[in-house]
Amino acid sequence: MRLSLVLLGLVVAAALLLLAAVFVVPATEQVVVHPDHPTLLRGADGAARIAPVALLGAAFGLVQIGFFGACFALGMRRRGSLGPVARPLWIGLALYAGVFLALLAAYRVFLDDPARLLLGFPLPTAVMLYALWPVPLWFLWLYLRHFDEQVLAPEDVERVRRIAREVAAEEGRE
Amino acid sequence: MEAQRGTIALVLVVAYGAACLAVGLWALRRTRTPRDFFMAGRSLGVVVSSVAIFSTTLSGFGFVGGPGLVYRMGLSSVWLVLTAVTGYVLTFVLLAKRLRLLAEARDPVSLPDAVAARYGSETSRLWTALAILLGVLGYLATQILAMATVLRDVLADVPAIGEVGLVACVVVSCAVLAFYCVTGGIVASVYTDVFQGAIMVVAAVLVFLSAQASVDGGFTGMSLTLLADDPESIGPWGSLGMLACLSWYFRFLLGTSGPQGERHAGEAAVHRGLGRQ
Repeated sequence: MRLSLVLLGLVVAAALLLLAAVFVVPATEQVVVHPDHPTLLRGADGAARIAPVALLGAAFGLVQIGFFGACFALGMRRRGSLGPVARPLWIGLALYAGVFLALLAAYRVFLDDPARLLLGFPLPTAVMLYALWPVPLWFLWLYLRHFDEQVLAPEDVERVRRIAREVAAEEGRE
Repeated sequence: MEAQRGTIALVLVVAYGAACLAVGLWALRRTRTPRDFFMAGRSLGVVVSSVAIFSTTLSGFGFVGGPGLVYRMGLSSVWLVLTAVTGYVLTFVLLAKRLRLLAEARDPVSLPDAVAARYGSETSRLWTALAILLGVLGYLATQILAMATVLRDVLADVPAIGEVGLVACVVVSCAVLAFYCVTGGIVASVYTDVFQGAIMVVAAVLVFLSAQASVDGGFTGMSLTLLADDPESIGPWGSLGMLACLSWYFRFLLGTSGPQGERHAGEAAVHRGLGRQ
């Protein structure tokens, strides 16, 4: 399947999920003002507000990870092929999706037992800060590692410079 | 020491403003042509460009407004920060190569130049310039408001000065900003960003250590206090909830590629840091 079609499909899916969030799901994610501190918001009952949107949110999160991966693949392709980037890209996306799903699972545990801490934070928050946040560094490393062969080879720059010189000479600028 | 806190803070703020003005004057000596003014003669290194991008991204919005957001809505606001890596990876992967090659082929001075060269259209140059102008207005207003708010609060702590209106602080902030931008162009802008970035790193580490030391039990103590008051605020979705957080993530994942306020650092990086072999 063409990558551009995959991207289009993911954008449409994200739009439909957001539409569903606005029009289909009732306004369950209400926030309330803190009774003692009016500039502070409270999250109300987590279990009650997560129940109607859990599946929608999970799908939206996974679509975003897919969208990121498709954009990454689009930029890393060289002559239509991902070459050595393909396998590490799939591994990275699987890892990213896995950690996101682990966050959702940890949130379920948190709703029953919020006092369970890991490295100073509640379990799902620790997963978010210590695992979900660093995972994209894998993609940054991929970009750096394969820059010369997949993104911008020295011969690319040289070819463009040569064309620019030829065009300038034709136009009499040099 | 505690009694002098306001005065010490004022001295530091004045020294900071003076340093920005000094950078403007220094940059003025390095700026001889329009190309120097808009592109720093393509002479910025990778480290300078990277720190400038970092401080532009964090900026007054993140450094002054960010803690306010965390206070107001708990961990919801952290989802903005989670896009720091993914957003920039997308920017590099999707835009950097094209802009780099375009810079080689057509030698644009600004983003509107690059867009006009890419599409061969003067109309696209106009629309790009207008889009940047509109984006910059909001972005710059936020930065100036952040700077003025800090200045007002610092001055309020100095008994000899007392209350100063926000408008007066906005005027002072604008004057400093306008001076170094007009005199030194992109060189002044990028090097003040580097200066600010260094201050932000030091300040962030100090605040982190100070905050941790000020609560019994450190982060565990803070988490337990928040859990007792409102568990959701310290949960992964914060006070706003799951869909709001994920929508925020989506917006900043895409938005990192296009904030017009980052145009100068982005251009500098593309012209020099990201692309040059």
